[in-house]
Amino acid sequence: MSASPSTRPLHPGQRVAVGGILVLMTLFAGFPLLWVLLTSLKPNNAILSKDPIFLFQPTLEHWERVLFTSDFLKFYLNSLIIAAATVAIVMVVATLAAYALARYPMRASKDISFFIISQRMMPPVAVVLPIFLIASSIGMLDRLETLIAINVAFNIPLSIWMIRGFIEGTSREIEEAAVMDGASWLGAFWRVTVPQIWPGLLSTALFVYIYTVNEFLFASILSGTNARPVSAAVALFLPTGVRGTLFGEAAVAAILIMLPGIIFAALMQRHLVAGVSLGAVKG
Amino acid sequence: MSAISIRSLHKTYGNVEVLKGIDLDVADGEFVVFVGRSGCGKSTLLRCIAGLETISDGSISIGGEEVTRRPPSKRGIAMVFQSYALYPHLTVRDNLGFSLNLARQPKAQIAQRVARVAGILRIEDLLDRRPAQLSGGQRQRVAIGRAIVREPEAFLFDEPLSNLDADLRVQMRHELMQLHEELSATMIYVTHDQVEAMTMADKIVVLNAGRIEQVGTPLELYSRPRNLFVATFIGSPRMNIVTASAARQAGLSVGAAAERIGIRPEHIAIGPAGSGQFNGTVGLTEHLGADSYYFVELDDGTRVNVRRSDNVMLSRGERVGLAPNPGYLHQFAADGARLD
Repeated sequence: MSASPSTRPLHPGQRVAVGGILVLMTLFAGFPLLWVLLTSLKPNNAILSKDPIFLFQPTLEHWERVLFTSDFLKFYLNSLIIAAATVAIVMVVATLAAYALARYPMRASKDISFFIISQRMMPPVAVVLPIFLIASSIGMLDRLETLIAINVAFNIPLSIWMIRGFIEGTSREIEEAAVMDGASWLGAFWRVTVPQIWPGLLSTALFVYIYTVNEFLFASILSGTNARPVSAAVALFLPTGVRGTLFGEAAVAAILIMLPGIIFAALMQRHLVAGVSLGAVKG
Repeated sequence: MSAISIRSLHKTYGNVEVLKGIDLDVADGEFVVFVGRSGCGKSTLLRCIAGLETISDGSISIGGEEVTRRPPSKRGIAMVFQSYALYPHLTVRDNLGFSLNLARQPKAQIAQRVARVAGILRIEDLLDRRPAQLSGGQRQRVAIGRAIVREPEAFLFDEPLSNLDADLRVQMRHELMQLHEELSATMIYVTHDQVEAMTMADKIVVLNAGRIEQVGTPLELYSRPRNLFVATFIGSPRMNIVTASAARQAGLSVGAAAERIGIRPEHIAIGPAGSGQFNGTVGLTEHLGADSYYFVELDDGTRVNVRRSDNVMLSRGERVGLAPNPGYLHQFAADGARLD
């Protein structure tokens, strides 16, 4: 086995250059996060100071207010429930649909695939009014189920296309081997193909999660005080006539909103080991 | 008892009929090789026997039991795929034990059977590796091991050696033949490699366009091909075909119904011009060391391949005479069927 170019040791000069670039990129990506974290811990006078302040007496007053006196936690929980349910439903439905499209080609496969992706071609704003009217007439306004259903509907098409690509990248013969070994077709897919496309499934799930947490249009129109997710609830900390913008609270909210995604991505990183299927077929 | 019997098997995809009424009997313990050109249906037939393809009509029995509608794993057969199809996320040990795990066999028994198979195939040292860490030959061994561990009634091989390099292919060929002797199990083997077919098979099945052209031992097929297709397909280099009228003109004794005459390259004597029934000019030559092949263009334009095993060299453009051995002429009727 020969070393690929990327695993060849670097010259000392190259190492310094690569290291420098990586430090710069880390600063570029990390600084805003650091600033948000600092802001969440600063007293108001330090936040509102004209010059950037790095040294200050940290305070937990913003954290306290967000977590204990505002309604933020309720909205946060709404977001988490909507996102978790959406990710779960989308992943199950999209994976099975993608499996069918990838493994059982039929005459209408192309048309079905195009029909699915065409659902994403329409801008969501085009259906806001009809969906609002429908939800209103069946008494489903301001309910988590409604937002879950909307997010599922909008995330399924692209997820099917992504997962279908991952499945088509694996060998059908390996599934057939599992069937010969005694698995059912779906069992073979689950035991043999899913472990191979695991990294792809995780990245699709992350994609759906981020999209759902960020979804603002339907969240703001279909939810009231009860089912409101954080995307629509940011207004909580926006300027009002009396108190002005609550920067510290907004920073705490931003950290909390980012946290699940960051944890998810950090866990996923372990699974993104390249080449899990290398060498499975042919030589 | 693991004889396989196939009766009037048809397989269609949409409007295309890929298998057109296959009747075949494979005896218990026999090594049968399916050969044919790409697209002749040999792999499809194997997959039908495996149960990976549903058949459109007909029946399949294995070990005396009708299995036509049974799922693959309930047919008592194991299959080795061309691509090996190892489970990439599992170690060799887990690859070998996969079917036993699915069948919920006791752990101790799985370990014992995996160890025994690893011993047979000499892969004990590889048990904790993953497929990606194995060479082509090692992967092939694991794929065969995965089949053996199930102790099936019959083995199906779909061009299992075609991804290996030439040396390894010869070695694995010998190992497979040895394995067949040791296990004395029924084996069906698909290949397009003439040498594999001729050397490994107890019985060769020649397929063409979804039909069986001939079933027989390698030597039967070679010395008494049933029709023009088998005659030109079996044997490398292929049999020479000349028109019967040219043969008659040259003074060969040829039956009245014959349209085409076949003669293998090793059954033609080559000498100076005028020494045989045909005259021609030496064209391309291939020297393989022990043998030389001369492509001679006859005066009527037909190209004939002649094998010579002595050290006399003929040069390009030389005029020669060809004398076919009359005892080895194959005569074919207008429809390609063998006469006599």
